Amino acid sequence: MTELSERLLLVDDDQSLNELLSQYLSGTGFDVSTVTSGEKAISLLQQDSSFDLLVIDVMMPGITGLELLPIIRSRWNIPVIMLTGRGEDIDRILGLEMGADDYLAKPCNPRELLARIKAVLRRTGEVSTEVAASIDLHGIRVDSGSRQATVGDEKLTLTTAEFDVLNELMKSAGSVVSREDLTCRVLHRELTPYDRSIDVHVSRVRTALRKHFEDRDLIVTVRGVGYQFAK
Amino acid sequence: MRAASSLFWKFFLAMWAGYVLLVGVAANVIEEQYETRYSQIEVSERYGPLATYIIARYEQGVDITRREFSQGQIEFESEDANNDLLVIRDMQRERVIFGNRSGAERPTNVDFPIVSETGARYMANVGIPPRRNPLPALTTPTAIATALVTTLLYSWLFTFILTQPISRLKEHVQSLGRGALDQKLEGRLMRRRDEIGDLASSIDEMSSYIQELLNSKQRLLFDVSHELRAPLARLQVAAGIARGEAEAAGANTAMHDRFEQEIDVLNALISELLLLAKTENDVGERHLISLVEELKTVVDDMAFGAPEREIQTQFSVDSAEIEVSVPLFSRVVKNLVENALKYSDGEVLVSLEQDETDWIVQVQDRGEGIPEEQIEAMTQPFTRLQSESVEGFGLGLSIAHRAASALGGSLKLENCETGGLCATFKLPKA
Repeated sequence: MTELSERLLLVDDDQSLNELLSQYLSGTGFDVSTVTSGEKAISLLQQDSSFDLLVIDVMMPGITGLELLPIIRSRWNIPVIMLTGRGEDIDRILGLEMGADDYLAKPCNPRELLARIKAVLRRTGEVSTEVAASIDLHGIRVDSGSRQATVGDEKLTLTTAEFDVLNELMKSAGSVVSREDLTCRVLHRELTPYDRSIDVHVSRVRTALRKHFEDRDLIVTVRGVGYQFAK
Repeated sequence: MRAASSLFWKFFLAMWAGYVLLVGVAANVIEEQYETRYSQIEVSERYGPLATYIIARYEQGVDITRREFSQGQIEFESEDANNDLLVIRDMQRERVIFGNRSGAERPTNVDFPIVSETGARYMANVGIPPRRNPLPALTTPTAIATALVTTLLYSWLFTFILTQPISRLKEHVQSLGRGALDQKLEGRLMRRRDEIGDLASSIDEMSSYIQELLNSKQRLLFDVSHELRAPLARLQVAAGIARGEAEAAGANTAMHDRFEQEIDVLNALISELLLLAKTENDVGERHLISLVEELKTVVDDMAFGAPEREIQTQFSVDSAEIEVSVPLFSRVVKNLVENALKYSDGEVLVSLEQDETDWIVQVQDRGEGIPEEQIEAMTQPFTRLQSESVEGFGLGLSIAHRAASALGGSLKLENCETGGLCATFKLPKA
């Protein structure tokens, strides 16, 4: 049973919350471990890095979630969902900009967390099954087989979600992709009101492209609808 | 210009009037002195002793001539009297016993009778040479103007020295009143050792105290909101587990829905409260941004949230670069647009204009506006219109107002002439 279920690691300094979440998520078939600090998370991962997903709280004493994220990114290839303080936009944006796969404002509905966990796992699981194809446009080459984006000879440094954003937009170059569709295709979940994560991912991609295309924005915002990649 | 009722003008006018009065009195005294110089009593007092001496010698049979005086042969000395001016006549013998008749032809003559010890009557005549009356010189227009200007300058200078530190204090207290509590008084005022220096340091102490009070209030609000979140997060998960169990047992989950709904309300309230507590004191880093670009971004962002609504923009300014805390700035605009979307139907207009000192961002809606008597209170936390059927805590405008002040700007709400609410957010250019 345990070998089959997916393994989650919760990193949060609130032990009671960890226990409750662990009980909730275990009930839905996950194998959940918990640690109460960033330091403990690192030492656990050093012994056993076979987790399928990490859920990290931003606000922790000692190593904060925002400090932990780049450490984990640099050593292990495990998807991360960040739990940020509600209403603290700066943390939220930073979390995504540092390459978290998704974020969720805390306190959050556990069902919402479960949905996000499933979405991220589905997305990262799909990678290997996707049909290899590549698109060339404006000198940008997106290879969905190797999951690499290059401009000329230079590699673009993108997170999984950012790569997917670029890939999806380039697939539909010249037509508008709605935010709902983009959220669905990239983040594998429904768009909820006041959910801006897809916009943050898009703006990250824009910033990455701007280094090579200073004079023009290849991704156009179509107000009220979505985004369009220039044909 | 200072108001006519200001301390400066009161002091200045009182002091100037005082000086003018003083000059007037002095002139009067001089005039008086001049007059008395010619009075009979004064002249007889001054010349009496000399005349009596001469008469006494005359009755002893010694005629005294002026030459004897001038040659110093006469021992009588009088500082007040000048023998050159004196003429004495023996009234019985009708002859001049001293002096020269021509003395009588002087323009001003003062006569006074003298009765000698023997009972003989004499008449003394003092011919006073014309003296310049000092007053005519003092009453020329030039003299009056000089006196007025001198006293004016002196009064003005003195009043300025006296009231200038008070004006500085007043300005300082005014800016404290506007909320700039962290502003400290300049050292020059604090170093004074007089009453004004004492007042300055008292004001400084007071503002630190108020600042501390406000800080602790903000901190408490923040801490309480923050601490509430941990149990709320646990409550939410516990409710989720309970729901799962209820569903597994096939029980009714209507109450679980209600739990979750109320938890969501609490969550939203706490987020807003945290934002409110943070807005005022947490100005954050300032960056140079283009107002036009930032406004477009915010409006785009809001348009995503409400795709069925139309948000118009109207920028009469091409480039508006300003150094601000970006999150605070976009918070103001976001909350204003959000408010407009929430409480009105129809389109929302966001415009950017400028006047000489400020950038002016206006958000207008086509709703019903706010009753005039309630408009002032709308920026207070937890203020909602009674008729409102829309969900909300009444914190949005309050947060916008505080964020605008924290940016050094201002937020004014009024009903537009075209109907609807018109929020004017002014941001100083420099």
